[in-house]
Amino acid sequence: MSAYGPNVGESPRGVPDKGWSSVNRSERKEIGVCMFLDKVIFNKTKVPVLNAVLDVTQLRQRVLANNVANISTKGYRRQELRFQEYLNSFVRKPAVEGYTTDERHIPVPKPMGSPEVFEPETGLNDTGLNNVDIDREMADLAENHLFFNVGARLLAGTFDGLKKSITGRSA
Amino acid sequence: MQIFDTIDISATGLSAQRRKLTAIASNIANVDTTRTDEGGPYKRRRTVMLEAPKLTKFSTMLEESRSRLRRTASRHMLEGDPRPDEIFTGSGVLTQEIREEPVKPRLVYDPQHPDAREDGYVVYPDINVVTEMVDMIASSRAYEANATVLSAAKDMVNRSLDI
Repeated sequence: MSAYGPNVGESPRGVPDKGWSSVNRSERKEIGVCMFLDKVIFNKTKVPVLNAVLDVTQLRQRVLANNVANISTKGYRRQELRFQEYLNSFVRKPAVEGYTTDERHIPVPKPMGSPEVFEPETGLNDTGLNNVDIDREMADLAENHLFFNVGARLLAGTFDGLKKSITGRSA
Repeated sequence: MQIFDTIDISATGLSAQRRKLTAIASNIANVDTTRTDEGGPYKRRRTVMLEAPKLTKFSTMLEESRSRLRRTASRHMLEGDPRPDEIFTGSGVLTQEIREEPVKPRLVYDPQHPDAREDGYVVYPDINVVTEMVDMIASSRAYEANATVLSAAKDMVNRSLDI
């Protein structure tokens, strides 16, 4: 699949997505089978959101693992991932939605770029080496792990449902 | 591969703590060593941790140069969002070992000792066993924490195979 961002409904040339019917014959050849699957099947389901959930939790796991690995590094500053806003942008429908039919158009709503890594301002911990709080890291890690499992299970369920609707019987 | 990056980061943490434990074991074992190859009493091994340098990946550099591209024809592709795994490039921890010069060596009056100085005193290394033990506990706890992160990462990879 090619599209991961919140603008998944958009075709590669910025033409508003009205489904497969709006695509003419020459374009059909161009777009290819993968895009077809993306457009008519996967983007209509929870797949793009769950994709983002898995990507973001993987990334957050890396950020947290880096904090734990640097637990005795002097002067290290712990990092966090701002992921809630990013995931919200997939779920929350904007009040106004604009199509971009010209390259000079400004996209409305502003596309949510990507989750952001930041360094929270907290004081030194008990060791005085850095600001990594091991209890907090492990709690965040457990939460993140569960979140990933939820995403993976829902994604598996979505694919099960698609399979069921294609074959007409349960897997 | 990107999905194994978490495991790599935890592995750097594990090996760093293991190296620190090795240094502590060596310090405790050599608490009474008065003679070494380089001469003089044993010098305490101290492990210093430093954050590993950020990865400079090809994909990151490509992404940076892509942000300077302009879309001049309608057939050009739209600029995509950076993939989440291109945002964070931390890569764990590194260690460095330092041999500490003794600040206050332990002096014991023992003129019969083969390493005794001319004034009859023997210079013993500047190692405090209590400090070493405390460091050891901290280090083994940190090792456990890294091992927990690693097993969580392993479980996540396994879980994604069930999709």
